Amino acid sequence: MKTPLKYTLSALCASLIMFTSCSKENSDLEPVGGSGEASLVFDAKLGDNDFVLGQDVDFGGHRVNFSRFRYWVSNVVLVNSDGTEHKLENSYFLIEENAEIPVQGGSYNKVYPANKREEVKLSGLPAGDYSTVRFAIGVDEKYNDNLALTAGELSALNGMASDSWMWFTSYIFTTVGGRIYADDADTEGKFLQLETGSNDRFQQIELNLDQPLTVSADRSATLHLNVDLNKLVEGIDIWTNSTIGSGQPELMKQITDNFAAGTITVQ
Amino acid sequence: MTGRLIQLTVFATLVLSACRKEDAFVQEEEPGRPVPYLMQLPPHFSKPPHMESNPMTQEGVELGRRLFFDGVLSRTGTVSCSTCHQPAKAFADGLALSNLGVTGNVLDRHTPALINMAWQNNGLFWDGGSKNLESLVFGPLTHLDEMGMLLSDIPALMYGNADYVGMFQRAFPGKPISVENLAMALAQYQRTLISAGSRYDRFRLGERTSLGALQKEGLLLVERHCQPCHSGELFTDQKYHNNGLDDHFEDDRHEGLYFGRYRVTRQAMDLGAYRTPTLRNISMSAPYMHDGRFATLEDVLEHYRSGVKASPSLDKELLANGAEPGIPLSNSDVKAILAFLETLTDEEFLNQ
Repeated sequence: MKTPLKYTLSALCASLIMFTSCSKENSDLEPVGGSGEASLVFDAKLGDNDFVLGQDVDFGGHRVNFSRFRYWVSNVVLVNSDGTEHKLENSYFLIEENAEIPVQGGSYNKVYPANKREEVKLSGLPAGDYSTVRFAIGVDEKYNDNLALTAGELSALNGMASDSWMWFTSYIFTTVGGRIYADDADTEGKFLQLETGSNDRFQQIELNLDQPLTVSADRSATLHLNVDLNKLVEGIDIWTNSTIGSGQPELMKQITDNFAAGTITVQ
Repeated sequence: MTGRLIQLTVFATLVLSACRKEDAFVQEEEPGRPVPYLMQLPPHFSKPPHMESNPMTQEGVELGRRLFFDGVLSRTGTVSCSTCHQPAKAFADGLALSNLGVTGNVLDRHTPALINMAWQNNGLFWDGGSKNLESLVFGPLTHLDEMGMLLSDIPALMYGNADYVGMFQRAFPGKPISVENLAMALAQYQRTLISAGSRYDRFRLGERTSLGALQKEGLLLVERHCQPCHSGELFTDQKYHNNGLDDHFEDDRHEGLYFGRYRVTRQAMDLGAYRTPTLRNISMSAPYMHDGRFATLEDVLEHYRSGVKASPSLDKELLANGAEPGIPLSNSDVKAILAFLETLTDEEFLNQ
């Protein structure tokens, strides 16, 4: 009688292994209530005004003419009112509002086209009421350390990993560019370039929603966010510090801290 | 007993194969699936770290080798990786600062030798600004004075060559040709550059006569004085040290080029610190240091003996020998060390 028991145990173990190792397929099942879509809209602002390119505007107390504002939004997670987290795989999005940008420093007479992109579409979301949205500004270490790995919109070919940063092979997380002028009489101005990058500056953002984002199979939900550049440079004298990058680590940190502290708000 | 064992084995096989059916099916459908590349590991070396996101395959290595020696990857069509990383010079170029790139302009840093790259997992470039070979490839490819390529031109360039279309397809089946896959193939090839066939290695593996008396004396001196940094069988700790070449670091031009690793980490202890190069094939990879400032090994040893400059970030090992920074070496010590360093030359490696 010993032997059959042993067989039964082995069979039990084996079927356990079988079920566990094949269980992946089960996760493809449609969630109860189906799935739907949602959009995140990142609306760039200067205080109460719209962010605009190619016009003189007041920015941090200075006259500035912007040519670009670009940043990576990644690792999007939506949290259901019951606490269930839904992580969006491969969520790497380049948010941008830019005039033409010379490719690789302009040595090839080629440009990245002017573009305005502020909307991110999230699909395959389980239906539900989402009360918290989490995402990061920047690219997480795994991908930031290896330009040959691709996911979502990540690419070393769109000017967000190149130019002066190639000795430090990684992504530029945020870039604000344009010209800044001393006063009304200043016609020449100087170069304005505020950039962040490096693993230490990967910045998590969490937004708690007063009105939950309701996703269902028959209704696409949209969350409008304001991204206020005035808040982004709060506490920084951008005339003195008109170039911020890897050489100004404290100022880079100030910018990424600001990103998490009030730059992005729900409209 | 045997019968039961067979039954169990059959059952276990069934269980295991239950979840693999699809894989097996795919394998049959794709006869061109790349074959894993098995590295011939030297018995006295540790196992190299596994690059999970870029497993080495025979087809990937083959593609990488072809790309490495092909000038097509440069703006002029004439400069390949091997223009500056020449096998006979331990995959360096023999110049203090190279001018062999597409413009002929002098570069900012000395071309590093490529030796035992599969084990290097603590940053690359002299200051560690790149984390792995895959990322590093983007540097020389795009540098205006090195290969000067427009990255977005590369796929079309490759598609224009039937050989490459086939090779990419075999190395990365079902995927379009991309700069990313090109970088992966070049990284795979560079991980095959193993040097472990020198006279020192034969000695190390039991052939006691392959080193003479002076060379053995030199080995002992190297172990005592050099191996705190040039450690282990790789003859490098892969770390970053300020070895006293300079003692002031105010020059912030060229995006902090003269800061050493500080420009990457912004930690004061990394001012003037550069990556420890291996001592393997050192006789064949002159000149020396991150800027090639020393033409000969005699110059290098003289630096450690009498030229080390003190500064707050100077490596502690260089302060361990009394009041003056540096390494106390007699003339006969220097002679013995030089005799030993020559036994680290690996002819087979240089002739590939």
